[in-house]
Amino acid sequence: MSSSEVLIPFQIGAIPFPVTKPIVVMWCVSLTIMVGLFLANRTKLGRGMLVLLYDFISQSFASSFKTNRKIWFSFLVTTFLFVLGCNLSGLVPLSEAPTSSLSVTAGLALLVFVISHAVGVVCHGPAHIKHIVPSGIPMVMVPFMFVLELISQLARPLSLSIRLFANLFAGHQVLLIFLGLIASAAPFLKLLPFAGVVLLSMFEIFVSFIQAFIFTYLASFYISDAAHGAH
Amino acid sequence: MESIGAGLAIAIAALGVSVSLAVVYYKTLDSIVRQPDLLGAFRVLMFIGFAFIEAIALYALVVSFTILN
Repeated sequence: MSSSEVLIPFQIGAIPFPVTKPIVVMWCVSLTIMVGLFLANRTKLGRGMLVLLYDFISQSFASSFKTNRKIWFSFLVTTFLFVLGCNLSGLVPLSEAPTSSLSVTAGLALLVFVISHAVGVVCHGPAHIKHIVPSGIPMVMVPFMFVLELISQLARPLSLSIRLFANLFAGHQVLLIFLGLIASAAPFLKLLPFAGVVLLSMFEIFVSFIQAFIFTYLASFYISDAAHGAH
Repeated sequence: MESIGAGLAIAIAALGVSVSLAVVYYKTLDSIVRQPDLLGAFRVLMFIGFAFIEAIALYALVVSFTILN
């Protein structure tokens, strides 16, 4: 959606891989997470916070997995921290939230989609396709339900990506509009849009946390649903 | 014409979303009054529901931005 300018033109063969601002921000976020977790593990306070993070992730998301909880825990904590870091980086000056461009969120959502179906095939084999239709419905309804559930399965990555993208994109657009109001307002009225910007920035921090939580929650729900076939 | 369409897109979405947010908030308050002990759980669930509902209004906001550009 938002086309940012190319910082480093890079090409493999005929396919261009331009390095843009969101990509650099994503590198910085990954590096910050790695270094931050490494440093947090070395101090007493940091270890206490890591325990809080562990409790939060394992109670909120990892509890829906019945097997291989350790592997899924690492996937979920990575997803949560990465999405949260990407969301929060939109509030850093000169930076731009990678999750406010549709390609990044679509990539993350496709990752969840592919993982959930791969896990379903690994756990159930070809019977995975049968688990799409809920059991216990009359045989006459099965073809209709299959088509309906197929559409809902395909809509999952779409809604997952657009939810994250729309929240971040719309938030930043509203912030930009308020910043424009500061520039255009009369001098004695400039304080009003400024207060609006401050309040909206706080709201953006809240939205960043909520959206990272919801993305990870839905990812864990989709994957555990495919793994256990609860219906 | 485009500006009218953009305005209508977000206005209709805001209409539906405000009603559903009101329903969620009303029901949450109702449950808190019935079971004040579970306040924390209700609050978390309420915010998750809010975020899901708000996303619908934000889809419309993105659509209206796209129409304006």
